[in-house]
Amino acid sequence: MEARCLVYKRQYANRSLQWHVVHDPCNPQQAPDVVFDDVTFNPLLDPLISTELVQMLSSWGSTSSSNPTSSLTAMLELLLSLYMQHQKEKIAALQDDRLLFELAMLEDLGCSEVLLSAAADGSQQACFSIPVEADLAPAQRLIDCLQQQQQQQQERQPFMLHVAFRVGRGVSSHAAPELQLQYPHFAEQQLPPLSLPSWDPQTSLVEYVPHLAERLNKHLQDSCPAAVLRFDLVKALAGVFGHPLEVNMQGSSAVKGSAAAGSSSSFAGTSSSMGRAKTFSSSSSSAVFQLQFDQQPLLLFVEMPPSFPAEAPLLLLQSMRRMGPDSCAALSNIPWSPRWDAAEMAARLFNFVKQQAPGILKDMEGGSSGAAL
Amino acid sequence: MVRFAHSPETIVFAIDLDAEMSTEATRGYCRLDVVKHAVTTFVLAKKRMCARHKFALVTLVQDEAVLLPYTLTSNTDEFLEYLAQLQPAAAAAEQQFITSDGGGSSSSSSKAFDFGSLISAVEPLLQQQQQQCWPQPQQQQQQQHHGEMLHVAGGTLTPAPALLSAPAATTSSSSSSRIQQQQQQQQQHSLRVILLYARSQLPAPELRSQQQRGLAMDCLYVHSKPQAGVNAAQEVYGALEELVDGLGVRAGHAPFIYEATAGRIMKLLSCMALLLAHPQQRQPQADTQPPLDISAAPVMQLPSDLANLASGLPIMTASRLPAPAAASAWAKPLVVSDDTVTDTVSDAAAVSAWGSPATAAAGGGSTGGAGAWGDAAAAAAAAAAGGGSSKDAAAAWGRPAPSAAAAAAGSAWSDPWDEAGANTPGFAAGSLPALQPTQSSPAAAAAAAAGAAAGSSNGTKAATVTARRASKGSL
Repeated sequence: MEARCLVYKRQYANRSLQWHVVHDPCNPQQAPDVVFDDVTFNPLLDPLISTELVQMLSSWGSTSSSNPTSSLTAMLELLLSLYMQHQKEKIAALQDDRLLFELAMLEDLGCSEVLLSAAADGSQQACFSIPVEADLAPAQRLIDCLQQQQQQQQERQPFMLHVAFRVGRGVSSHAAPELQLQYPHFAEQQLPPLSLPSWDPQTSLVEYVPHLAERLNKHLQDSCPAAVLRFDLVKALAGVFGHPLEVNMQGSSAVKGSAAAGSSSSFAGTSSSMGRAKTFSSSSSSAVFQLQFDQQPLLLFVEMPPSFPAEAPLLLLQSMRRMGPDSCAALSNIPWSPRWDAAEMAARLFNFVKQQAPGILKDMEGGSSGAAL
Repeated sequence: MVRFAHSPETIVFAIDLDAEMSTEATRGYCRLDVVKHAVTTFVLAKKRMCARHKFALVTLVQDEAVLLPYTLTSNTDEFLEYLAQLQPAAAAAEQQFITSDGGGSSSSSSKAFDFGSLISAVEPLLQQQQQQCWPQPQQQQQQQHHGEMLHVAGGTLTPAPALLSAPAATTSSSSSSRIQQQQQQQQQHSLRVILLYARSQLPAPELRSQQQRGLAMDCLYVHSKPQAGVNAAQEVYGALEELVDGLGVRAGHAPFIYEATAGRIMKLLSCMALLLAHPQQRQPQADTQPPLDISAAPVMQLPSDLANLASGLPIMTASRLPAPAAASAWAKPLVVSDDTVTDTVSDAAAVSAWGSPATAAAGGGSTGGAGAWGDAAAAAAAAAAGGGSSKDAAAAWGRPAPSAAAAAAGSAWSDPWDEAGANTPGFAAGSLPALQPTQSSPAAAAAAAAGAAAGSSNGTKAATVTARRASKGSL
């Protein structure tokens, strides 16, 4: 039987790790080989070789026989920690005071990912990925809605702050780093962007992160109820208009953006040099319902803009009979209050559509453009 | 229950270009024109919901289906241009647009359409879909042999095709994330075929070769007015139902199957709208309610008004919102066959079908035909037999009686494209032999048995299919 090659993929700091794990199914007692995608990292050739790694690989046959998967997991986790150690040594070798201070504070920050990488302009970046502790109690309903949406349990991911200090000739590491907050899955498409606190040149990460966490908790408290209200409104609309034909809570136009804090601006919608950080999309949620008006088949589109519920949803009526510009009409002057609950919103929208539909259809009939059956 | 799981679709319209498509459906428009209109409104509606939906065209000529690969696009304008170029087989042969075995320009195809050719035609798209999920064919094979993706140590462990694939360490982070995003987007597309079949004559469609794989497919059968001895629309519909059900169950898809007489434009468009339903979110066809008639539904009482009236009571949540009276119309099974209902307001049967609480009592021995709306019992027959019931029903909605409404609004809303004679008020239920759903489908039963053996999900879907047909009853 041929050797079996597995690919281990993982996001690490601002890049994607891709290690190949090669093992021989005919010789399960033999420890697997690992091929790293970073040529500078070779833990078995390191003078300060990890005894733990050597011991693990030496005793592979005895420990892996009972549970190969857990042995593999343990090996990869150990290699990750060695990789982080390797990257820390590379950053320390730069002999930069600021970076040495940040490295010393890593344990306090709970930082588990450190990377020295090359930036696009040839300089180097010292990247840190720090989990941001957030109170997820306000987000629990949203998480439940999204788990229902995904129809499976999603691995709970933390909010991650990605920090990149520029280093190199002519670049001072005391300059403000590039900051980007990565949202976990439940938040990346449902919550609006967070304006990060501005970076004080005198501050350090150990001071900045708690400040960010406080702002993040406030953001979750303010924005999660609005996100949940979208789901509630769609359910309420289904109760009055019937089962929707299609619901898209993810939005159709994902806006690639990032919440980045530079030295002055609190929010910059620029493409991130961090690259791998997941971006959020502040886009609309929409649903479509089939209606009839005197046996004319109609479609009602309900689109909730990013600023919902502060802004009323957009309502669009499409006649299946007509084509061209006269086939669709937007309903304007929708009576609206963001204080209403979902049931009230749905009832008001129903009555409004019922009231407006005759006039709109009459206008469509009177339109001269487009074809009609 | 509303389901929110959503992924972009690749929708393939398999459009029959048989000579019957060139027959007039309504004043100045042939059957294919009406189908194109329906597809156009469908595509525009779909794109409004998700920009990532894609569309493609397959043409059915004689006994085979041909994929037009250049039509696969998410660009609406581009797709609609390709759609506009389709011509019925006879005319297309003259213009050398689509090769055809020809035959008389007005005669229908004499060859039975082979569903196997449709599966073969969309095979490239199915393979593309699989490759997008598994980037390398070797990876897919290894995945099948050696198990699923493992989530370990914060990452994923999957089989690799090569011992040493090119490392991506030097790839810029932004480009790798873009690639990942594209792959993620591609992974999510699901393939669905919408078959628009138009032949009313025998031979009925068939499946010539044994197929292991299924096909997620919905069907809209656009046919001539069923007439015994003149055409075989009923038999063709039965064959379509059996084939589409069988293939759908094998693919783990619960198909929607609708039919409409070519001249019944409103019904055809309404059926097309129902096919918009996203497969991940829709209810089984047997549970699908007719669309709400917003003109007949009463104004809703607001929860805030109710709370004010009964001070001290809590504001009602959505689940406790009193159902509007209109809900009773579509909360109960639809009891009319659309073949007995015209598209004009003036028709009493039509009003009773869409505007009144359905008389489920007529469900036992339906005489009006079931069509593909999923339920038996012809309320139209009941309404036609006892015309007062429709007036009572109309009065319940607070509208003028149908005749008055027709007089007042008939000129505005009556469908000028209906077939001659169909606008006559009181169009009786029994004047047209309606299409009967097949009472028993060997294919679906066999597929159900296979599905039960294969797994619970397939069995569940098979049971759903048979339940849909069992609920239809007989004429």
